[in-house]
Amino acid sequence: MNAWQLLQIPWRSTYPSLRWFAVVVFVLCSTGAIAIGAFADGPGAMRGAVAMYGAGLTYLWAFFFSLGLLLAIDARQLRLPGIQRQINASLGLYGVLGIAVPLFAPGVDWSMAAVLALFSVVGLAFAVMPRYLAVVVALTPSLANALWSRLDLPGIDDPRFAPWAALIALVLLLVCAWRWRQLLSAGNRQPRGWSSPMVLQFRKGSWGHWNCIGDNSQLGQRPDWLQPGVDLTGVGPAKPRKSLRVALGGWYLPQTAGSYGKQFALMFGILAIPAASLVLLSRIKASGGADFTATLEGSLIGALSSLTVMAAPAICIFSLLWLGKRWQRANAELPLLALLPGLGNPAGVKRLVLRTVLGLPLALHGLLALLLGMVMLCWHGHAYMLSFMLLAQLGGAVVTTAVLLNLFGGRALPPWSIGLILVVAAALTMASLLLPALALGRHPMVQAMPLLPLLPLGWLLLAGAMAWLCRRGWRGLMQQPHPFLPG
Amino acid sequence: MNAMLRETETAAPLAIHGLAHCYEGVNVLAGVDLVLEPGSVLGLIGRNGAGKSTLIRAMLGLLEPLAGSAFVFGEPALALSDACKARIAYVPQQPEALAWLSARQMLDFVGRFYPCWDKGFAESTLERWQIPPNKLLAKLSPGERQRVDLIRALASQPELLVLDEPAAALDPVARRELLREVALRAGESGTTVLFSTHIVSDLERVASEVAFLHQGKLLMRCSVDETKERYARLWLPARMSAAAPNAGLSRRRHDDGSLSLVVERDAQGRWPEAANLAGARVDALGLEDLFVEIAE
Repeated sequence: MNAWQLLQIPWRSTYPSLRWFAVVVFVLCSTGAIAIGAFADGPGAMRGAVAMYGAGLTYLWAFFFSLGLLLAIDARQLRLPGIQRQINASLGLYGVLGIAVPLFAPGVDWSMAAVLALFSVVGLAFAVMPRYLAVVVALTPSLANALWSRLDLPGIDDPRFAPWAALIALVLLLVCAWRWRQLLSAGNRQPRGWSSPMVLQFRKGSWGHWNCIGDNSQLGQRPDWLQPGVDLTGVGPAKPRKSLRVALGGWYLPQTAGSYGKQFALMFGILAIPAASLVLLSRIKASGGADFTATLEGSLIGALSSLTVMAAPAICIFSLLWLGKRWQRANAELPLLALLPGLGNPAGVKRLVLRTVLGLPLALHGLLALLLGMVMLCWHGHAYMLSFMLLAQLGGAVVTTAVLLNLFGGRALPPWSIGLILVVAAALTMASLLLPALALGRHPMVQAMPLLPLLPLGWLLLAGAMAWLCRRGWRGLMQQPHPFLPG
Repeated sequence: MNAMLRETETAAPLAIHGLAHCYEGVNVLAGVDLVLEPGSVLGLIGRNGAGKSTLIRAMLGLLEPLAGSAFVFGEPALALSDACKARIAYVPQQPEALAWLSARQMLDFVGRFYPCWDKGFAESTLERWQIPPNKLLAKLSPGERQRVDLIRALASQPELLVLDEPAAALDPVARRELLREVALRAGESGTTVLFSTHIVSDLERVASEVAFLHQGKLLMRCSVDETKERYARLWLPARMSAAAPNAGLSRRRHDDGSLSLVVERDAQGRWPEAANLAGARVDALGLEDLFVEIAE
């Protein structure tokens, strides 16, 4: 097999969407690095260029080259000879090219090879290590940045850093090689849940679990201690709403107090890591002269705003994906519910479904809005700024109602249409987060102020469109003989 | 007379008239009529994609057909009362419902809605079929999931049991146990059973009647015992192919110009006239051969 064929292996062993996205990211990073190297002046230029190119390398190794492992696992399972050797050779070739090519650029010191190797190996480690370690890896840049400024360590463009980079890269490479072999030999007994590496998540060609929400296979992978404890007390015809929640599953599932406690403890445990990092970073930065309380307050407002920004579309997406799966499958809950006696007449069942299904997401939107209201009361100075967040939350609730009503009305919106609505809602939400911050923040931008009245107008237009969709879904639901017909 | 006939049909466990449906412009059901008598065991047979699952779902009001009507115990299938629902049990193909519950939790949950729920049967069958009761349904194998759903259906003591490919994921032992249970229910409790399959031996074992669904149409329906007597393959050499009857269930021309047809006896029990021609041959057909001849 010649070099050209070796270079084609990763290209042919990945999904088109992943491969093209990787190319776009790498080209953007490389172009950015060249632009910084060519046009920026001063001592930070080289550091910026290396960091930019390194980020591209890390992405490629984390989300593109690492997928060679999936091919290697399949080849081993199918007993195909020689494939694994070719994958190793291909990755080695890409590793050398990724490091060597930029060294020929003018002004680049050969000691940079070690730094670029480190960037590459960190990407690979992120992909093959268990996911609970990947969470820590994701926080590394912020922590490293804070530590570097605090301890005055040599920068990545400093020749003194090269030996350290080489040593860390070598250790990480050995760990990656060990892990690679371990995953390769695991065959069908791959680690699951949080022990599963990121690279195994790419089996279905998408980053993250959005496509898998609502899949029963996900439930099967979860360890027993993470399974919710179902509360079946009182369910039956006397409590149709609770019964329907049992049948809907997911976050609708009624759980025992102990189970809720466990889930909340886990959630707070996960949130504690970024919170602790936030406090740590604030303390480190504060030692440089800044006011710790002001930094913390700013960070908290930022975190709260980000939470609401992420939560509003997440509530909509999660509800839609979960219920969409339920309302798509002819062999799952729909036939069971349609033929289950004791839920009442069709009109009553429609009301029951609407109350149960819309109740939880709308209650969550309401809870977030309430949280924002309380923050507005506590921080009077930021009330005007936060009122835009409140607007975003209400807008999110309208979007959730519209898409769910159309799902139950047998008029489920096509994916492109839902995507368009979510993109518009996300853009408005981001604008509601950033514009008020720019216009009313500590260093106000005068140009941003006139744009603020456009935000309520934008939300109003979206709400109008959603009202039309709500009416469409409602009429569809009323025309349906019963609500358990697949969409 | 017609009114009386209609009344009888609407009181039947299942009755459909002119049922038609299509997916993305492709006809799946093309005007199907079927009435199921109380206590009968009807095996619905057809190739993959013949429309068996769609027909079953339309019969039970689990999808809204484009045309036609379906009645269950005399009630419109799309607006069944709670009392009527309590008399029906349906097991879909490869059931996936309530994967977040364990087998015992699922049976406990569902059982609370059925007035005649046989809890003892559910418990003992779980044990007899060696299904771990506290294991999450999502973690069971497809065959185990299928058996749990069969227990769910049987424990409700239905008067009408509808099974969509019930044996598809079962091993031979489990399949035989299921068929024995179905035969027992039909024989002792008078349960009406409709099940779809493409395993012909299952049909021969339990079904009292068989219906062939092909390309969305019900090609034939008769009792299992009757098929051998009533249908046969008529082979005509090439020189006689012009004498072939028009009303054959299937017609296949061979490379040498000879013709094979599946023919049916008339009301007087006679084969078509072409069967009496010199050189013509009438071959008896087993159920599987009949299915293959029709479906090919």
